[in-house]
Amino acid sequence: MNILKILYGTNQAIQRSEAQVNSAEPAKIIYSQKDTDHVKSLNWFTSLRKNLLLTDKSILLGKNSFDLDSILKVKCYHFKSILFIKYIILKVALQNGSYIYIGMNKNDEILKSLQVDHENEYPKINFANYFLFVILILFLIYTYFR
Amino acid sequence: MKKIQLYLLTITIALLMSNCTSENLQTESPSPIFELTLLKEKFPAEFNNLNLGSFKEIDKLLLTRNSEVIFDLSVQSYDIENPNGVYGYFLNSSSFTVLALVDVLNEKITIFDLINNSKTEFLREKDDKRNIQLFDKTHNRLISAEESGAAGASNSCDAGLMLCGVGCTLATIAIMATDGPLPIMDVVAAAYYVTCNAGCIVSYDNCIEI
Repeated sequence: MNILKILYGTNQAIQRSEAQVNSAEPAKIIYSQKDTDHVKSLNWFTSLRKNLLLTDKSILLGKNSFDLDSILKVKCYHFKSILFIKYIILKVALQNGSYIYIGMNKNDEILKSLQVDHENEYPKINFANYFLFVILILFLIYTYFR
Repeated sequence: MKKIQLYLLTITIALLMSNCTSENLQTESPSPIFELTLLKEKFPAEFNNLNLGSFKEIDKLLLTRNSEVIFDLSVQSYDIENPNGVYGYFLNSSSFTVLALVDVLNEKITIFDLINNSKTEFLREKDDKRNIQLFDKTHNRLISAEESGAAGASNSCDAGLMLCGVGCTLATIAIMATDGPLPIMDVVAAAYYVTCNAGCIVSYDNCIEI
C-alpha cells in the first residue's frame, strides 16, 4: 500500500525517528481504558491516524512511545475487508491498565516481533444494528429516487 | 449474519450508484419528432434557422398573465440547445402543442402554437427571482411569467439534491464502518464520497444556480 505510506508520510516518520526502525505501518489508533473483544465499532471514525514504528525496544505511535517491556499482552484479530485486503486489529494491554487498539494492514513482521499471543482471535462485531439502520436508510433513499 | 449484512449493504450501494446512472439515461428524452414535423410544415423559415443539436428534458414552464394562467406547460418539454443563442422549448399537452423559442441575445420569446398555427412574440426580461417578464410585442402589453414551476419545482429540486447528498454521506459512513480499522478505507470512502456527490451534481445540474 504505497499510496497509504505516502499519505501517512511513513518514510519521513522513519527518517525522523532517532531509533532504528525495524518495521513501520500506517495505522489507526484508539486509546482506551476498556478491555473489550468488540473491536469493530464506529469509534474508528474518530481514531488517530498515525504511523506505527517498531524498534528493538519500543513501539512508536506518532509522538507517543511505549516500551515493549510495558506491554502485558497483545491480542490480534484478523479480518478481510470488502476490498479483500487482509487487515488486523491489535489489542495491546499495557501495565498501567490501559489498552491500545491498533488497526492496520496485516504485517507478519510486526506480529512476529510483538510475539502475539492469539493470532487467530475470533472477533466479535458489535455494530449489527448500525448496519441494519444504514441499509434501511439507503434502501429508503433508493426507493425515493427510483 | 455478517455476510448477509455485507451482502445487503453492497447491493444497496450498487443500486444507489446505478440509480445515478439511470437518472442520467432518463434525461436523454426522445426527440419530439411530431412537433418538429409540424414546425417544419407550418413555420419552415423558423425551422430552417434552428440548429437542432441536442435535446434534454427541462422543468415545466408556467406562463401567467395577471394571475391568469396562459400556459401551464407541465406535461413535457424539451430544450433545444442552440449555439446561436436561441433556445427552444417544445411544450406538449393533450389539448395543444406549442413551441417556445427563447432568443437570449435579443431578449425575445416567440411562441408558436403548432395546432392553431399562430405565432406570438414576447420580449424577455429575467429578474433575480428567476421569473420571466414577457412583453407581448404583438399586442404591446406586459405579461408576467414564471419559469420552472417557480418555487415548487425548485424546492423539489433542492430536496432531491439534498437527499442524494445524504445518501452519499450514509453510504460513505457504511463503507467506513464496514472496515473502519483499515487505514486505506479512508481513501476509498473519500473517493466514493467525491464521486457520488459529483454524480448528484450531474443528475441535478438543473437545480444548481451559479
